[in-house]
Amino acid sequence: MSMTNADRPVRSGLVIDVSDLRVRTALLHLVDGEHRFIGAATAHSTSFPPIQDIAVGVKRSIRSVEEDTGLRVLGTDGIELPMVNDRGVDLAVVTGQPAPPLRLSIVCLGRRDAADAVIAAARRTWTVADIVLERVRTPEGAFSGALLATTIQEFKPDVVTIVQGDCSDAEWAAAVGTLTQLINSGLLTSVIVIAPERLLDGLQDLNTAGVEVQGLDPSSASQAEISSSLELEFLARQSASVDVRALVGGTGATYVSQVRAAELATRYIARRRECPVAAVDIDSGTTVHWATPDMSEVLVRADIDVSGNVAQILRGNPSAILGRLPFPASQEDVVHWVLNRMLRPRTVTENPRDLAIEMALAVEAVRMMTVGAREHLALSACIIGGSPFIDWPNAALASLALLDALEPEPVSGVVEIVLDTDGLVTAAGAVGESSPAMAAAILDNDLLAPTATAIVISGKGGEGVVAVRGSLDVPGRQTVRFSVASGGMHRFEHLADGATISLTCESGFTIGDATTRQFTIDRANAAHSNVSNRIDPGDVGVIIDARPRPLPSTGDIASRYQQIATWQDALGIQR
Amino acid sequence: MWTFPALEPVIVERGDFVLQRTLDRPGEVIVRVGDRVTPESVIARSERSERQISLYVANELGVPADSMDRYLTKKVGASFRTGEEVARRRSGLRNVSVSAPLSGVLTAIDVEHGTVTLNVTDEPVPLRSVVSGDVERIVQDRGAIIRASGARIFGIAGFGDEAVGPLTIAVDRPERELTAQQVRDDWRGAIVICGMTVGVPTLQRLRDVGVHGIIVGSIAEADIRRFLSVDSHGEATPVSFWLSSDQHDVLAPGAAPAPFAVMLTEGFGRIPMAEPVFAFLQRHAAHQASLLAHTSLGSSLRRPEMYVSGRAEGSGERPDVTLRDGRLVRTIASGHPGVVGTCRGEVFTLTADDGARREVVQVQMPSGSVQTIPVTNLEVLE
Repeated sequence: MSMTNADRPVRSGLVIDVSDLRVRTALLHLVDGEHRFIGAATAHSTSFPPIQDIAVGVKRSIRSVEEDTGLRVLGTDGIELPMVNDRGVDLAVVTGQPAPPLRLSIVCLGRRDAADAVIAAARRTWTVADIVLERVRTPEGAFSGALLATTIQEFKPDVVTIVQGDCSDAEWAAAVGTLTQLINSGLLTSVIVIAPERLLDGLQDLNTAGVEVQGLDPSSASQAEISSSLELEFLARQSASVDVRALVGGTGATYVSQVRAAELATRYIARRRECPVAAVDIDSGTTVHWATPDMSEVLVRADIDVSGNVAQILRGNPSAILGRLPFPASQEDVVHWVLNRMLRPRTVTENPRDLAIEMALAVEAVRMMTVGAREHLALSACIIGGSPFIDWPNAALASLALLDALEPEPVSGVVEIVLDTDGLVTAAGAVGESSPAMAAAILDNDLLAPTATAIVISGKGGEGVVAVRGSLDVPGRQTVRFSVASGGMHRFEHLADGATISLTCESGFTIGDATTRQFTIDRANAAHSNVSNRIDPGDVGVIIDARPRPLPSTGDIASRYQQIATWQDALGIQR
Repeated sequence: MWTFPALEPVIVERGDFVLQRTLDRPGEVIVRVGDRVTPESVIARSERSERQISLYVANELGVPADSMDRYLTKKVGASFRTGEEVARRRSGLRNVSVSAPLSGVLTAIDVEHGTVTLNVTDEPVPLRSVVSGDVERIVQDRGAIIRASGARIFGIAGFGDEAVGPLTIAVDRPERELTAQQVRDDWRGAIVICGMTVGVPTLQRLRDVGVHGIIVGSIAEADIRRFLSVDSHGEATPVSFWLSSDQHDVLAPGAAPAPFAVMLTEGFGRIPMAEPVFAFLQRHAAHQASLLAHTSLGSSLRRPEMYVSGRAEGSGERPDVTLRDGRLVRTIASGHPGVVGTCRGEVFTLTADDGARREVVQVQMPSGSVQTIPVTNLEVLE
């Protein structure tokens, strides 16, 4: 009896993570009976002109992994599946964003909250959503078909979702009439209508040959059910646009969306570590996942990043961006930087000034898309950062950016920061659909070591007031006593195993729910959970973060520069 | 070196180029394969077409459908220009109106649904060759592929459409700023090389003189925004100008049509024009130039470009962008674009402490120092 793919033990897996910026390939393999990550390589994406064929970048990336590991993966027809005589792999998964995001116009007539389910579904999937509310109304408040037509013609959506809030029948008829005109002009080929049954029955004009019209009666399902079914619909459309065979050749490779992959991995890590986890990735678009042992959530914005979509960050809070820079700059300086990056999105940031600007923009990108979700993110006891944090020359800068973006206030007072330099969160999540055991082994074995561990001092006090006092005991050396003022940061680097940090908070301050804590540096036995007193300082070290929550972003400009410079100095960041 | 949509250097002095010139909508192709064309040659003309659009007048005026016809400004059969009021109603102290989105003729009134029908006619639009060359292939119903030889330079951002005219050098050095007072009346129809930058008064003066286009190192975003703001009540904000309508791939969706073509060679801000770029333009002073300023981003990446065609034969070789010893390059990272240097040695891979690998090359900078720069932060100039 021949063994089917499902029966065959998975010895090796290849994950190809594709975006408009890069192609990252990770090779996973059975080593001494355990699945391990054994190599990764990154190549430039070739999705844009002049090459305009992602498959070229994919092949380059796989070839690099082959060269690094000495294993052969590619055959004459693409990836060889399954592995035979140490050639090929048993599992090949494409993930990331190998196809453009779904462009979605969400038109809501009447009550705005009627569109919440659609917006929530769009924010959980790889879409660029144009939320159309008051823009299709005249200054007098009347619905305007002409404005709707212009809005849709400019945005060029793949799908229009129109929601009947509580608008009048006349407005609804005008909107449907406008969509009919756009369909007849060949400008629109897919419409999702969310309206009462009686209105869905009257949509025969939309049903033209070659046009896909789907209807949903909001009274027939809960908001959560509507949102879930729309999310599945958007995911299915995205998956349908990915041609895996054209990307990697051969047969048998599968596609798992990056959103889904990272969600699986984040949820697993939260359960495994029994603590809240947040994962941030800003590549071509931005995703923020967070999970507790009981739940998980995701926010996706395909149209916000620090490369080709960097200009979208200007929609955020420009003064907050300026307020995160350790030097004087005007709004025009930042806009010029943003526009020049938009024109040349693949440049890499190197000098301290540019890094500071890119960091401020990255922090603002995360903050503007996580408004409303901050209370969940603040609970994070583990933060995992992907691009662009891993590209920066100093891991301390990335650690500071993640602390600034998410402002964690973990219940335990301790937060681990993990820079996912090899894209293992996505890679493990991608193979997790087919081989949960391989995914779990990779996350357990290869994504444990933190880059830094931060001890967060909660509480409020006047700036400069001592928030915590402590001592550092390193075996064989004299005890070092220190204090950290409210609003300040401190870092201990190069700590050997066995070193102990003892902390006692001043009145009004706590570490989680405790006023005194003692932490021992113990890399091998750090439990990576939110209750451990054994911590791993990683390469960056132990950061004591006594800054208030939320972080101040206003106030006297000169003192802001000074304050940010002080934080960067504390973390050893070159300015 | 994939920042440009072509694997070619910024400056090509003697090259062979292939340009696709096509209409936005179907039309008649006038030229044939083998025809010799000049920049002014019409190669295709879009067809005259008619279509009907409905205006929801009653709804937009907020009146009952059966009373809508009382508010119409003209009768059936009347013509309307784009933006002209089709219907108007007094509402308190204000007027509510419905304007024609396009020029057309009012052909029907539907008082049952409160709509009117406008017959819109798309007039024929001629498509010119813009460059001198030979018709290599016909694109059915749309246009042609033109093969041209001569010189070409890429810009990085542009505004406006296409322009043809003699190259006029307005400044003596690439780091000079052209002032409004220096603009001359006899520049009408020219493509003017403006040096490092121009401000709003200069842009206005260039418009008034009637130049066909300008090539400039950089422009402050606030200046181009003020110059091309649509809103007559004041200047657009950065967000409304650069991001107004979520049009993907469009550089400045909130910009009004530019009165002349603008090509930036370096970027936004105050960045001097690269010396080799300025020297190239000086060499072609008084030559007839073809400026294609259209710029798009993302997957439809397109940069502005300028050709001097029909004066010299191409070299017959495809220009390459290999970074090698002695190659002239320009830095393009966001914070310090526009520094010209010379490659010293070949590209090599630099491995960071964390194992991350980056392709880099050593570049001798104008100061004489040699810096190691990622290849993604460089463009081959020539």
